[in-house]
Amino acid sequence: MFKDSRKTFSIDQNIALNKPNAIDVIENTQGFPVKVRTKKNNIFLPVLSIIDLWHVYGEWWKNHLNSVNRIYYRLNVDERIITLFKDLNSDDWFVQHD
Amino acid sequence: MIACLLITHFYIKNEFARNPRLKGRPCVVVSEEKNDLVVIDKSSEAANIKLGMSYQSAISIYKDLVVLEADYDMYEDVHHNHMVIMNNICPKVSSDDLGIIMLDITGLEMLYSGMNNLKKVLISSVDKEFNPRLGISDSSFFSYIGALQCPPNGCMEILDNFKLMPEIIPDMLPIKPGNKLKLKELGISNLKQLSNWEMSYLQVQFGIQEGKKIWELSQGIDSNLFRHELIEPSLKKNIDVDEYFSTKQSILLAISYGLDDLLRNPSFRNRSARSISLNFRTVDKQFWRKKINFKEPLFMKSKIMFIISNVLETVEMPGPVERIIIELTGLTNDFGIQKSMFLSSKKRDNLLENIKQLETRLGTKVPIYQVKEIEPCSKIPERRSALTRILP
Repeated sequence: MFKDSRKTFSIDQNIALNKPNAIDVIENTQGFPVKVRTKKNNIFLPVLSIIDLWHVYGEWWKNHLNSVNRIYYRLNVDERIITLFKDLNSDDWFVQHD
Repeated sequence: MIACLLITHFYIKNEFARNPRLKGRPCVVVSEEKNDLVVIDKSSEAANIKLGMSYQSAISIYKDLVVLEADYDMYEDVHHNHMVIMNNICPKVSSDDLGIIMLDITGLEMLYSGMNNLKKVLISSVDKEFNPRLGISDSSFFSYIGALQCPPNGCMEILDNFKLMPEIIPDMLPIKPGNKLKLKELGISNLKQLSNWEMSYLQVQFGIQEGKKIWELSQGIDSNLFRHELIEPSLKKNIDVDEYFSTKQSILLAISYGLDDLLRNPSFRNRSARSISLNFRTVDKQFWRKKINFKEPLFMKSKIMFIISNVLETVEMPGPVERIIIELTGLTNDFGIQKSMFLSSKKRDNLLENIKQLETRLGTKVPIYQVKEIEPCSKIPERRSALTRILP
């Protein structure tokens, strides 16, 4: 969904802020995140706790792949709070700041 | 009516005011002219010394002669102060030379309840040790002659210019030095002797302009118009050191101390300065001057010092400095700065202007963006705001 388009960057183009970045996450059998590989350490760190989670479902009038269907998690990882979401259309994980 | 306030021996009187111990001793003030030190003023005790005499000849006459080097900065300061004082009394003031101040006092006697009171005010406004003399006449030249004739701290009002003619010697005339000598060679010792001459004779001898001038003066006419000067109020501070300032840091420190003094001056209270003049004199007597005009009148030391240090950073001093003169000029009654109501729009205009200039210089578009809200309430974070180019 968020693949690089490989187009040449134009200076006139508007740049979206807070774009999600792909991240590796290990899920348990119930589909909750248990380990997260952060970019900084490049190692899997355990999720200490799930602080919050919410479901965002929008643009349902578009076709299946273009609708927005995400589950957001606010996690405590290595004593830091990060926000991740799982794209339910593609089953990929992304990190995103609020 | 023109009044002339004259201070004779202005240089030596300034030296006495600076160092009263010199009074009663033979003193001369010397100045460098054509690579030679020449006497330009003397005290009454050094009667045998003539003005224009070389320094070596002067010291051979008096063994205990005190020789003082002319300090024109100080003389000009004192003269400027006198001009400011006179300008407070009379709005039309002019000066051609140090120690001579001309005032247009027409109608001023009504403000001071009579001419006698006005004369007293004019004379008493200058320190008594300067022994000012006041001459009053219908023209500048004859009021100057009147001032020359009157006793110290006295006044002479000239009602008939002709009566003065026998007293006016060629040296007093405002003409070229060569023509003064020529008058003497013709056996003319005073202006009365010329009163019967025709203008054409004088024009043949002294040229059309000078001949006419001499003839007019001999007839009691002074055709020179009075041109008054605009006296700009200023505050000055001289900083002298026994050694010298060799680094910019030490110069800045000295300026900082000098500014402290100037800004504490009661006459600067509730005022601001539009510009500052920095005069430097190096050890080898070179002069260097820098005038800095401020964008807006300033009264805060930190802002003034910031500007000075920025200016001094880029200049190269001609040598070690032994004297710094700081002068705050263009004093205004502004105290405080009114802020613009539309500060943000002004800032934006400035920013757009700077970006345009940058693009012109680089010849391409520059990636300078601003954060713009697109859907601030969207549940999807990447939809809420975006970076857009400031320039369309």
